[in-house]
Amino acid sequence: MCPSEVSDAEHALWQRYKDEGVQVWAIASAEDSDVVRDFRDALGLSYPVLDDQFGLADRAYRELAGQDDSQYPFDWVIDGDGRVAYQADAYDPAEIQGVLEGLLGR
Amino acid sequence: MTALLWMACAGSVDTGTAPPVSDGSGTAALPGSSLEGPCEAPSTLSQDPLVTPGALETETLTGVKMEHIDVAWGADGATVFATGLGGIMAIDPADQTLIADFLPDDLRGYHDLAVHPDGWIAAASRLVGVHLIDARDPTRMSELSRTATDSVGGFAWHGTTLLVSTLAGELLALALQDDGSLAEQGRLAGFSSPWAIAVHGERAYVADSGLGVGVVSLEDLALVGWTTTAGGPQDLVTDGEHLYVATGTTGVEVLELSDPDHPGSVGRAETGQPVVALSLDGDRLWTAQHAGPAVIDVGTPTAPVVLAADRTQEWALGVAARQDQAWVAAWSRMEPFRFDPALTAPDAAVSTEHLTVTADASLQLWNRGGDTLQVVGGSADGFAAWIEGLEVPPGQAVDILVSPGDADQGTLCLATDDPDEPILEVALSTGSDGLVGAAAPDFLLQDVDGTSWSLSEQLGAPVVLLYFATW
Repeated sequence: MCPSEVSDAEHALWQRYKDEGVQVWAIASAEDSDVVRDFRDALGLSYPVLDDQFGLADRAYRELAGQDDSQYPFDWVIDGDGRVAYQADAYDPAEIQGVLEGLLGR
Repeated sequence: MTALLWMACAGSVDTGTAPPVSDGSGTAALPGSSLEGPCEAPSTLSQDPLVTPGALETETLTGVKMEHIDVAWGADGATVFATGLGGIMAIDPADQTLIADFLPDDLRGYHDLAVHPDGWIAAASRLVGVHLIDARDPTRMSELSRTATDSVGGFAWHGTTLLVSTLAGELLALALQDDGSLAEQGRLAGFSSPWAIAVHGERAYVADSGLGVGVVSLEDLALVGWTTTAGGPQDLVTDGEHLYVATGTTGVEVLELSDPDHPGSVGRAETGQPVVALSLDGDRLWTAQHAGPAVIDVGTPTAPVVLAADRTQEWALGVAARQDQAWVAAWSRMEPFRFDPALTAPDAAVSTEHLTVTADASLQLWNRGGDTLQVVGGSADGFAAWIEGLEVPPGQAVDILVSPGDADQGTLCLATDDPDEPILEVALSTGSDGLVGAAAPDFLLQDVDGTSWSLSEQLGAPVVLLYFATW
């Protein structure tokens, strides 16, 4: 996922759905914590930016998708039962919004 | 629905009838013609009204990856200023070169900026708040003062008063003093996520992505009222008669200001991409959207018309237009664009670049240009596809239906007479990887502030996971 997509998600996902209980987490894998914090500050992200320093979550989700390092599903939506509702390897806010609207029963 | 065109994978040749569209209702085959041969662009194309003569690779020029967030023209039109993680850049727009770059040692960049006609620049940093920069001589920028504030959402100048919206939900009025400092005159609470401010007369209009467009009287710094828009406002500009509001995925909404306290919606333009920033250049409104800039004719505000759109290499976050020239802040690059109002051309865009075809699926082919778009060919490897029509009028779209074929993955290719991007490709997959419904791996991670988050504690509510890299 490209940095500006993380920025877009502030408006397109977090601001839009935070009042309905939806969580939006950006996850940085195996990066310097200071760099990740600066990045969050510079973009003014108000949703949680998770520091996956050892790439644990990264590895688990890559294994689930059965994909190697080069090809990776970047974006996931997990439903309220802890199951995958959506995954995509390219950021598409309209698609994610559609999935969330479905999960929120609209 | 007009003629249907069958686009299949293996160069089928069959004029006359399309295969039946399996819409589940058992209707008969619709009339149409099948597409023949490969997906090839026409040999001659009309001239594109929107072109980019090059780009500034800011990473190599400054040694710092710029990650641009905002851009504005200097008052004299001879300089363009851009902010990002590398500081403030002053660019010579004529020869597209960097004049100077300014970043104090203790800062990690600026984000928003607002240029005052006298050459002052208000710039925001997350570490401090508001910085006042003397940019009267762009080659020798210097910082005059710092004012600590909550995280800045947006700026606007009103005479020598700087209006600042903060993500703590306040609007501040800061008066410029003779010594370059800013003195607080007043503050107004009640906002949620105010990202941008536009001023006309004694009214400020605040784009609040949580609440709508807020109208503020500057005479007494009081909230007059709210106007809601179809999407959450992210930026707005005004010419005094109308407000143009970037509403993310829903495009641009036009509000009329004959009653300045109660803006009413009169028009809307969809660019097909989430619009995050705007710049008004006479009758033409430039947008920065995910993929790049778009130009919208707002000469008739009740019926805005998208004239052209283009792509930047990286995602566009800011745009500044002047006399049919615009600079787009596209992450680590600054990309200039020129618009020629004498030319019109079609401009093709698809509603998604990745289509999951579990059963029948559809996407839209939009024409974001000023001329009729002709579809001249296409293919859908491993899948079957039908298009609703071969001609797409400006501002219109046709549906493309896709059915599963004999492959799990494939590519939909469309050839059009769009001079800018005659070949469009959409990745197709059957979504048969079985991921949907799978148990999501639990994890416990800390955010950059030290708060712990685990997936299993969020049961009951959806969670969006965005894996990203800062580089």
